Amino acid sequence: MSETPQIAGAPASGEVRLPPGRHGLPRTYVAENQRERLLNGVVEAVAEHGYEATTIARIVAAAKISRRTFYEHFEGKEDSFLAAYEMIDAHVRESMLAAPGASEPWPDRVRARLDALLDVLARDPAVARCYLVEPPAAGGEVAARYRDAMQLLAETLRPEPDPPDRNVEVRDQALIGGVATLIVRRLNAGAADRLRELLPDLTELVLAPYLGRKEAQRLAHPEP
Amino acid sequence: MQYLSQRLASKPAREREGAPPAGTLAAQQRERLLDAAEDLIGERGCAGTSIEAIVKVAHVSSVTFYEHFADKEACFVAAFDRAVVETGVELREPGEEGGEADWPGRVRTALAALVATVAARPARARLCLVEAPGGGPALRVRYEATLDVAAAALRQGRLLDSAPRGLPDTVEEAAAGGIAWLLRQQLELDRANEVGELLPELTEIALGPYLDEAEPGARARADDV
Repeated sequence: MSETPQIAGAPASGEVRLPPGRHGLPRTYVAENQRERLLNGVVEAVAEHGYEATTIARIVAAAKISRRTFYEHFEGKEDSFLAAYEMIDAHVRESMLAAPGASEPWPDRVRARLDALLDVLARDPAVARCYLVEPPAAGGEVAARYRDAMQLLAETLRPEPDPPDRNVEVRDQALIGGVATLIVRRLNAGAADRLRELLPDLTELVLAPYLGRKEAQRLAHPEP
Repeated sequence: MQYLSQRLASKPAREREGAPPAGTLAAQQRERLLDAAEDLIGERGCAGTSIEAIVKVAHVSSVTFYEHFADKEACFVAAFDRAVVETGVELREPGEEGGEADWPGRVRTALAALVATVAARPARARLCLVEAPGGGPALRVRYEATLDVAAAALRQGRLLDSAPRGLPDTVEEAAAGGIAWLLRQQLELDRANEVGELLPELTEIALGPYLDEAEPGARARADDV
C-alpha cells in the first residue's frame, strides 16, 4: 500500500490514530478505496469483454470485490461505467489543457494538446477503449455522455476567439470525427503503441480548415 | 451449446454457401429476416435485438432463422452487407455518366445520394453508422472495410490539378470518418430528416483537401461545385 491514494477526509499516514475497526482505516477511506477498485474493475472488464458483454459478475471479479459491495456504490452497470467515464474524461481533458505550450499561439497549442491526448491513450489502451471505442454503441446515457465529451474535446482544439463561421459546430464535429476515427481504428487493430505517430497528421487535420494546407503542413512538421 | 431450433435446422446455415437463388421461398424468407433485423436494430440497437424478436417480425420460425444464419451476428452482418451493396449501387451510377473531369460533381452527387438514403431509411442508416462501428467484431471489421472503400474513392481527388502535394496518408480516412461521424450524430439525435442540410459541409469535408487554399475563404468554393 505504498501508493495509497490521497483521499479527502483520510488523515496523512503519519497521523493515523489507533485503528477504529479491524481495517485500521477510516470508513470513508475504505469506501473510496472500494469505489476506486470497482471503477478499475469496470475499465478492465469493459476493455476485455466490450460494454455489452460486461456483467456485474465480470466487474466484481476484476475488482476482487463482492457483488454486495458493488451495489452499495452503484445502481448497476451503466451507473458504474458512467462514474468511470467521468474520471477518464476529466483526466484526458486536464492532460490536454495542462499540456506544455498551453500559453503558446493556437497552432502550437493544438499540437501540444493532441500530443497529450495521444500520450494518455497510448499509455493505457484499456482506458482508451473505454473512452473512445465502447461508449457510442452502448446507447442511452453512456452514448449521450460520450457525445458531450467529444464536443468538449473539440472545443479544446478550436481557435479562440471562436471563428466567425456560420457553422463552427459542424466543423468541430467533422474534425473530432476524423480524429476519433483514426485513433479508434488503431486501437481496434491493437496498435495503441503507435498512436503517437498520428501526431503530425492529426495536427494538420485540425489546422488545415482554418489556416490552409501549406501553413498547416509547416506547423504540423516543426523543424527539429 | 446448441439450441433445439439450431439442431432442427435441417441444412447448414445458407450464408456459408451464399444467398439462396432470387425468387425462391428461401430468398424471400431471407429478405424478410434481414428487413426485420434492420428495423429492430434501428429501433433498439443490436444489443436489444433478439433472434426471437427477429423471427416474430419476419413471420418465420427460429428453425428457418438457423437455416439461413449461424447466429445473430451473422444475420446482422448480412443485413449490413445488403445495406452497403444497395446504397453502393446508388452511389456508383452517377459516376458512370460523369467522367473524370467532373470528379467533384460526382462526389457531391454521391454524397447527396448517401444523405437521401439516410433520410429515407433511418433504420438502415442506424445499423450501418451507429451500431456497426461498435457492434461485434465481424460488424466492426465490415464497417472499417466500408470506410476504406469510401476513403479509396475519395483518394482520386489527389489527381486533381488543384490538389496540394504531400497530403498525409490519413486524409481520406479522416474525411470518411468525419462524414460518418456527422451522419451518426444526426441519427442519434433523431434528426435523420434534417440530414440533407449538412450536404454543403459534407462536400467540404470530402473535397476540401484537394482544393487549392492559397487564400482564406477558398473553401467556400466547395459549396459551388
